[in-house]
Amino acid sequence: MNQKITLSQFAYIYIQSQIGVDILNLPTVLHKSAGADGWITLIIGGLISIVFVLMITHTSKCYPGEDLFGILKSSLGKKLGSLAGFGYYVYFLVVAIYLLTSYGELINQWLLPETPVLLLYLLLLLSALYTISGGLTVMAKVFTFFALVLFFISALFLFGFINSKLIYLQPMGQATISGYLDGISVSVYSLSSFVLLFLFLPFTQGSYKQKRRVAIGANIVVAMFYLYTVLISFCHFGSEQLEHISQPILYMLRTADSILITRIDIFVLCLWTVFAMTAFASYLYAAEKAFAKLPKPQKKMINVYTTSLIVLGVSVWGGLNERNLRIIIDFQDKITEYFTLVIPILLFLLSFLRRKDKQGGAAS
Amino acid sequence: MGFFKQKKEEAVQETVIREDKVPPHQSTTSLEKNIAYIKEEMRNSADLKIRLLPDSKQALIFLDDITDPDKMQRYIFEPLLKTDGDIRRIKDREESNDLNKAVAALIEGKAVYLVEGNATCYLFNVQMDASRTIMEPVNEKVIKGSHDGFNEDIKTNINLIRRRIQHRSLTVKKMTIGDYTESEIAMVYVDGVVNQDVVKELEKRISSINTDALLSAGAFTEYIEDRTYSIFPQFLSTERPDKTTALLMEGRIAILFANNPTCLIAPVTFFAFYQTPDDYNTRWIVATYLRLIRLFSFILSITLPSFYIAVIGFHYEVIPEQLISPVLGAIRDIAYPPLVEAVLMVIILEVIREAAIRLPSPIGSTIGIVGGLVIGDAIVTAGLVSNLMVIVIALTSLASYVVPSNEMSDALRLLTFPLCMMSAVLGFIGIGFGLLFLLIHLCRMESLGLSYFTPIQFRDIKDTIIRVPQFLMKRRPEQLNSPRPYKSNKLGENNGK
Repeated sequence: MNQKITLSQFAYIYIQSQIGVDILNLPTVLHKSAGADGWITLIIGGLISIVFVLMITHTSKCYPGEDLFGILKSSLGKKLGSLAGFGYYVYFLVVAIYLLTSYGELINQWLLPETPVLLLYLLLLLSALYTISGGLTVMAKVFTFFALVLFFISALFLFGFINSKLIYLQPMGQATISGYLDGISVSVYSLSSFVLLFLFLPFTQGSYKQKRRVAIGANIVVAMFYLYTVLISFCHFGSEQLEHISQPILYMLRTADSILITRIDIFVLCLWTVFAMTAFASYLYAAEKAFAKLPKPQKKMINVYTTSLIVLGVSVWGGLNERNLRIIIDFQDKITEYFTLVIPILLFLLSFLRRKDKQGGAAS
Repeated sequence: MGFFKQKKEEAVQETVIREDKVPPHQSTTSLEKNIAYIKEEMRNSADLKIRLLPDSKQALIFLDDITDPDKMQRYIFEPLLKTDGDIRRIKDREESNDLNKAVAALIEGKAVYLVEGNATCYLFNVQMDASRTIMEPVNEKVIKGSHDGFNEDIKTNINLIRRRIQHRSLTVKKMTIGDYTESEIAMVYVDGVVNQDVVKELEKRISSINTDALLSAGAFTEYIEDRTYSIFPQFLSTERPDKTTALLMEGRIAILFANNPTCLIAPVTFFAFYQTPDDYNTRWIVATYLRLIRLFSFILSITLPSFYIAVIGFHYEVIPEQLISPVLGAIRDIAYPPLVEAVLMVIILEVIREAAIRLPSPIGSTIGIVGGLVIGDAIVTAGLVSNLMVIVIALTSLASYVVPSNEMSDALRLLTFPLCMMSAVLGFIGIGFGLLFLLIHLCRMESLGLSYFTPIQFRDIKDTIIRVPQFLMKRRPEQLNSPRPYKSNKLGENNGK
């Protein structure tokens, strides 16, 4: 368990925890806020997320060997730090719940309308638990292997180019300023897993510069993948159709025919299970870590189960009807800002005052 | 409340002492007493022969069935004639004052010579050799390459390896396991290439084995493997010296067994089970092609039946338009759901396979015809199973036999069942989750503490999924963390800077 992960494993972990179920909706959401300029806001959002990655790697460097909760305590003080740690526990839980429910909803909507969602939740939860119970090194191995799926899916998306028209991207610059801001915030939130860097960075081998380079590289890979999906769906459908479609990529693949099999969307959906699992596992891992750092330390296995029971319970409640789901999503939207943007900035600023690496301590 | 508490009688048994650890028993000067002691210790066994030499002052004791009379003549009686019956003047003998040691020597196949008025036992090695000739292993045939194989004699096996690696760093460590059987095993590795941590780990695990009898290589793995509850084999077993040599030179450890032609290799990766010596004897393009075929058949053998079930049960729309009517026609009149069909067919096939293995080979081939052709045809005409399902299952089991390793192919065939269940419940998503669990399990597995599945470095693909030409394979597998990472001195010099 004490073993550190390698730089390439770190990159894959980061990529896989970023890409979740949300990307399937991303083109539509972006289109809603910024119209045909959605892809430009994604590029800007990607650049902003890189700034955050830089800030987080710097902060992490200033407190060597400490993960998110250690940093919180060191910079905010013991009481406030624990409180913020608990806040993060809730945040990670909520994101995990959100990922679980959105996966269940997606599969229910597209493939298995009759199957009880609980079964899907359970399977996803079990596979995620199986992954994270081996610790970060096993997670790293699993995520590295599943990176294959990313290449495969990217290749399948090429079908979308068959009927695409670049003209759909025109005219540029038509959106309003508020539309742009909306689109940018959507893009930044879609890349908001950079918070998890706080948990992975201290357990990665390599120097600060190497880690920074890899983290930025991985972030760019994710942003490029998002851009790729968004551009393809924009080019394929055009503004009028995009307004009415919630998962454009899947619709696009549905119409694409190949000689061997039809309905590629079904296969892509099944492959998407991998992304859903990895992203969910990352947040579950984060929540478990947060739980372990709560004032009453208990045995590790109990933590995993309590955390996952909470996740399962709330997800089942959320899956009952549309209104409950809405409450979860609204709650997540409300707190995301604080935990992914405000606190990292605060920590970054505080790191100049309270940094530990240059205070002469023998910390390592 | 002692009413329901039944007193369990704890079984008590005596501790058995291994032959090499029995405390010494001083021999006496009386020939009679010595013989009596040995007789008693050997439980008056029928094959214990005591040959009293003229005037009953000297005796030769041996176990009739494991000693060679020829050798006895040559090493004991002929020299005795030359030295006028004075045993002390014969060279080539061991001496001992310990009767228990003499008994142990008897069991090994030595002859014990006792003299009246002399407490020393003289031991002569007259063991009878009983071993097969060196033959090609039946289940690991190759087209090109050497055609020799291990046999039941551990010395012959070490000989076969030593002849291939002529270097002083080839290390053999011998151990015995089993308090009754005292089965000899030998750990073979190339010092300087192997990772010493792994050697220590293996030694530690072997020394922790505590049993009366070590009966087979399979039982041995269960004592020391990392995950006993996994379906996947974690030790590669082979009977080929050339394969063993190649794996030794990669930095792995071979374990040889006395009285067993199987050689176990550890640590291994999943992909080692898909390699054969043939790969390195053919053109590399052909070898790569064959490796890809094997990988493809791996995927085929575990997913094809479940894929079929999912398509029939859940996702009709996946079938291209032109195929729909033939598929529909095939399954329309079948009474059973596809899951039952699949399980039925798989079990029938397994029954045929078991029957064919147990029967003598001339009849075995008939079973193939009866099982495959007659039952296959009849079962379709009877309407029990659709002919599509027959194709699917036949392909699946064919694909599972493509794996060069027998254990792995068994594991694959067993994996079909859970995947079929999952796909019958959830369709493609079920298969997806099944494979997800399988892959996570593989990623979690370890072989002697080293990772079993994921290639740690991208360059390991060069000799796993594909095979590149020899000059491109510069490094030993990354998994092993060998102290000698490059495959030649020159490369090490160039890249060492």
